[in-house]
Amino acid sequence: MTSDLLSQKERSLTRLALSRLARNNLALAGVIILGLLIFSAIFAPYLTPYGPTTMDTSLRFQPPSWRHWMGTDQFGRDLLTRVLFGGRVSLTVGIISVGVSAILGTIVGVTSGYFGGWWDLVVSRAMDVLFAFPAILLAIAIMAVLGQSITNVMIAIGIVNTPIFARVTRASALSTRVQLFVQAAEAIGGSHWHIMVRHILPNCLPPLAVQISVAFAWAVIAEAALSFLGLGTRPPTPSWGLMLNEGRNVMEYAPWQPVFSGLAIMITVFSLNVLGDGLRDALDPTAGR
Amino acid sequence: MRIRSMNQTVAFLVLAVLLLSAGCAPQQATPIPATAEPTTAAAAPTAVPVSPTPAPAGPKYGGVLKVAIQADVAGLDIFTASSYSSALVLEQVYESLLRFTPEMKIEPCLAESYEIPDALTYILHLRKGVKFHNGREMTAADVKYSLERYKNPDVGSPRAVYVDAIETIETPDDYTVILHLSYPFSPLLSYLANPLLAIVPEGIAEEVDLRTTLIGTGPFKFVENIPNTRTVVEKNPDYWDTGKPYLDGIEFIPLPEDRSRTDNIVTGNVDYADQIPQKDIDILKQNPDIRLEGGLATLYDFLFFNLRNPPFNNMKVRQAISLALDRKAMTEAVLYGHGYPLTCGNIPPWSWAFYDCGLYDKPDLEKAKQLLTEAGYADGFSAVLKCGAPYKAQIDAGQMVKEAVAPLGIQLEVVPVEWGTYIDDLLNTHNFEMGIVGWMGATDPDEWLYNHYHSKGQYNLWAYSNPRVDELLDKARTLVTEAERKPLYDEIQKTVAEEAPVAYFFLYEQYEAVRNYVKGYRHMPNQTKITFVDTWLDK
Amino acid sequence: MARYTVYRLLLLVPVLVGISVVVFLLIHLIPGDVVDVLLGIQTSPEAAAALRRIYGLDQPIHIQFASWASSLLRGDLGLSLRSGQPVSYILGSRLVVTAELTSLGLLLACLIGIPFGVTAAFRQNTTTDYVATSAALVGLSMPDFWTGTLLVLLLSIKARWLPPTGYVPFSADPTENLRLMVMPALTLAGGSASYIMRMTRSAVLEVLSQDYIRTAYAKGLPTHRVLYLHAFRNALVPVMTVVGQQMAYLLGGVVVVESIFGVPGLGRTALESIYYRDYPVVMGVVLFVACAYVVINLLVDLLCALVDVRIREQIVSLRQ
Repeated sequence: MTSDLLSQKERSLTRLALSRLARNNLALAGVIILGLLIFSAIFAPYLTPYGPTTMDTSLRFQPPSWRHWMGTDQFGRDLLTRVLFGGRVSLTVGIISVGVSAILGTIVGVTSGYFGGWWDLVVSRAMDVLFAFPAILLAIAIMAVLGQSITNVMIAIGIVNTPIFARVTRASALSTRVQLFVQAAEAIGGSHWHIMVRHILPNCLPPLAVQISVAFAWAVIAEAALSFLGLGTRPPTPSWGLMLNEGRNVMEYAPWQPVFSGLAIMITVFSLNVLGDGLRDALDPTAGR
Repeated sequence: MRIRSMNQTVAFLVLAVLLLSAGCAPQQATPIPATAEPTTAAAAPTAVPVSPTPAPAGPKYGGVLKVAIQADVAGLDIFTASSYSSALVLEQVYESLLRFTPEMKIEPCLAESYEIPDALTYILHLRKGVKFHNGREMTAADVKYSLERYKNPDVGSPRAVYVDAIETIETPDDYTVILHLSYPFSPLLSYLANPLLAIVPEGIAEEVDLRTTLIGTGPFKFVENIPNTRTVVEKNPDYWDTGKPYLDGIEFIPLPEDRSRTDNIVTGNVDYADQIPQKDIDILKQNPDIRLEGGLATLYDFLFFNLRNPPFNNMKVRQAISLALDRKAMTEAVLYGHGYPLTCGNIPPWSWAFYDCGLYDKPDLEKAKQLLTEAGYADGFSAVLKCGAPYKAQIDAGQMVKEAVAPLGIQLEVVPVEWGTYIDDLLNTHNFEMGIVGWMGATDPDEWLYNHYHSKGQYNLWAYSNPRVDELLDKARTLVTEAERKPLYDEIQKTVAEEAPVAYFFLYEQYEAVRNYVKGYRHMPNQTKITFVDTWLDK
Repeated sequence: MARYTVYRLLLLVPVLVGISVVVFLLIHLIPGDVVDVLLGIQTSPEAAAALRRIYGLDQPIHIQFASWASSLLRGDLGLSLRSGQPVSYILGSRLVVTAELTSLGLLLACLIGIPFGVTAAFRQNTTTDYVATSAALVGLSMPDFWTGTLLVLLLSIKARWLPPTGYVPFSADPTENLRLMVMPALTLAGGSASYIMRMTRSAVLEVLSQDYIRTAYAKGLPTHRVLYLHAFRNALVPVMTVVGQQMAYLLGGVVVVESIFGVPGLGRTALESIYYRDYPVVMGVVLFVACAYVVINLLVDLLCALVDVRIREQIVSLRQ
């Protein structure tokens, strides 16, 4: 049957893509950095002797040293510990918000692309609306409505990211819909559900994979930005954006604080970006260069 | 009892320029001068010698003072404005019947003298020849109109409560105003000295939009307000205090970033930087081109509990939390040491009503634990601690409170709340368990205490109620002298500290930084900037 | 072409209606209102109630929306609840600032992005290429609020070359205005420059692999003529598209950058007005930005069509 053939072809395509990805040094570096970040976030409590919120006002603004590799902040908290724990916040927000928006966006995108008609019209106009104002402003307004907490950060970022996923999957669905194998499946009486899940969705996956890494990177930045603006994670929970915000206030006393917390954001986003680039190259058959 | 108040401080202020001292020495303030004679000379401003002396340090005329302020100037309706940044501008354009000296004594302004024949009657003699910026002379009718407008509930002035006691206003002639009170209200004089309880021309609100057209009697006239960019006032050449102001104008520049104000005063882009952040005080003190003016202010941060619900309806829980706080460490970490730890009440040490019961000098975790156990919370509990998101000090203090009570088993979630939402939570929905706010105090102890702790108090957000405190507060309002009032206020402060509806953290030191050539300016502990009228530029 | 333009502009109408409803609802969903923020905590319930009456905030939300929308249809954006100034005046005065900032930012981004992109493509797989590509990747990964913070740390606090934040109108003091704009513009340009560089590089590479380039070389044309006459010109369309996209993107980026550097532009105004629940201003800014966004994209498309016949044909066929 077509679907068996397809899934076989699919599997080999996946293998091909993975092997291409593995040959891409930069992308590989991205995967390794990301792995390290996940490892340090999970095992943060075992990697440092300090607590992320433990204060010692006798140790305020200590410069980096052997005892405190990244120095201490205004309350004498160890910054390395806070950076390691901060990874938990960024990665959790990234995974959950992107997961939510990818699922929602894909459902909306695939159905609107597949069915077309009034539903597509509504979805397209709604996306136009959401795209026409600055993403960060939308996230800020949503946070103002919901209130400051990490759950709400995920919701806000999830909402803002959804239309991008919808747009990407809708485009794939539109182009797949007119392909011969879909028409064949329709002709032999396959249900809408069956066609969408077995034929349309698999063809949306490559651009989806790329979009996930891009959206993940944006989510990490957006969480940091919201916390930076004092609308995101609640203090004293260590979030890189929050630490950067605190650090910016005390730059004269502790220039290392904004440097390290920003560096953590940059490395994470960098690894996601190169991974995204690698995926795009690996999944795009025309990218021969 | 006949009270006059003095006269031209002008000549003295010229002197004061020479004597200008760095800080404002806390002095015993006497809101109501005991005795004095009415001076007729006071009526004639022309009699004042405005430094014709060729003394080298004499004030120079001219120049525009560039003032970096912390918040954007928004809302310039004198009747409804309440933000600090709006007040800075309004104080230059409008004037009140009375005013404060930098020593926080009350002196005449638009009223050149006053009498209080009995506790329910205040007679004010207006200064003659005072002109509004539209050229009209100020008379008793304007005073009546202004005060009645403040009281009018349809206007929605937050200062309506200041004039609530005034029942009728009588104007026997153009220069006399008699206020008849419905109940004795000793803080009235200090309210009449509030620059935001200003006198405007009769009927003005019906003619113009008060948010954009400002017509007062002040030393400066309003020119323009470009939000987020600048607000400009220019010299009023017809100012009643002849010879003043010295400046051609003032330009207020909002620089909300702390760093920006500090940097702009260091580079000399501005002549005056308001509200120097605590962390920059030590850095700026070492700069030879800059002078810091200021000292202990009236601003303080504190923790409050919602007494409506458990566990905070239990006094012992509140006491335990208050006992766990190390106020000295908090002052050190949050205010970089530039503050005064409040170990009892909220009245600053420079006030005559200051009282230290010493209940919370040092943290006492053992006693706190014991109190919690007695209250039935031996294992602690968890609660939400809200604070204002725009205020870094509140968030910092919140984090320290969280750490401080953790050993008691109390798990706090510090939630910085976006400002508008927070106000809604506090005022309208009472949706909070614990909260932190900053408060700008005033001058009279009644202002510090009545509305916070009287069961009918307007700012009693925490729903504190103690009949004895109510009684003392009400009684203190009817007494006139400090000596009579002090014992009552001491008892109130002690009771409140014991029952702990709130836990005070610290009082801020507030400094403004001025370039050395800015002369004549004096810091006001209540953070008003009315001394700009005496300020001149020596360059 | 004209019909296409009109069609695209007509599409703007449902978008604007949608945005108006969404933003209006969002702002009214935020707890608290402008009266709470204006009066602060030290106030009385009577004062607040009176002000709400004055501002019409005691009306049901659909009435408020209807009265706002009907004055909008008459061309009146209303008055700011917070300052009493007309929203159109506020928009106008802020737009000047944001326009200066974004133009400077875009100019910097193009000046950095395009030459590096072209060079990297010509020297594909050399050290120059690797350095430029890696720099662009790093640039893309730096959040603007960090770039801004680092710039302040290095150029203001350490080196003391530039004032850290603030704003002076160009008319008041041109030098100071530019000195204050350098860091915000650089911050804004950072990400865009990287993006433009990458797109330029791949566009030029795409062109270089085409047959006519090989033909041009075969004809014996000197290398620089091939590159500038053929390669770069043909790469211009995708580059222009990216630059246009970035311009629209920068309009969003100014929200954070203006807040960090205290620049009184549209972004900071939007943010502050959200804090103040000053809905006439928020609506004004958001509607303006949405229009600008759509118009910029349209202009880019039209410009591309002017340069490239193929796109023009596409547009025409699209309309039939």
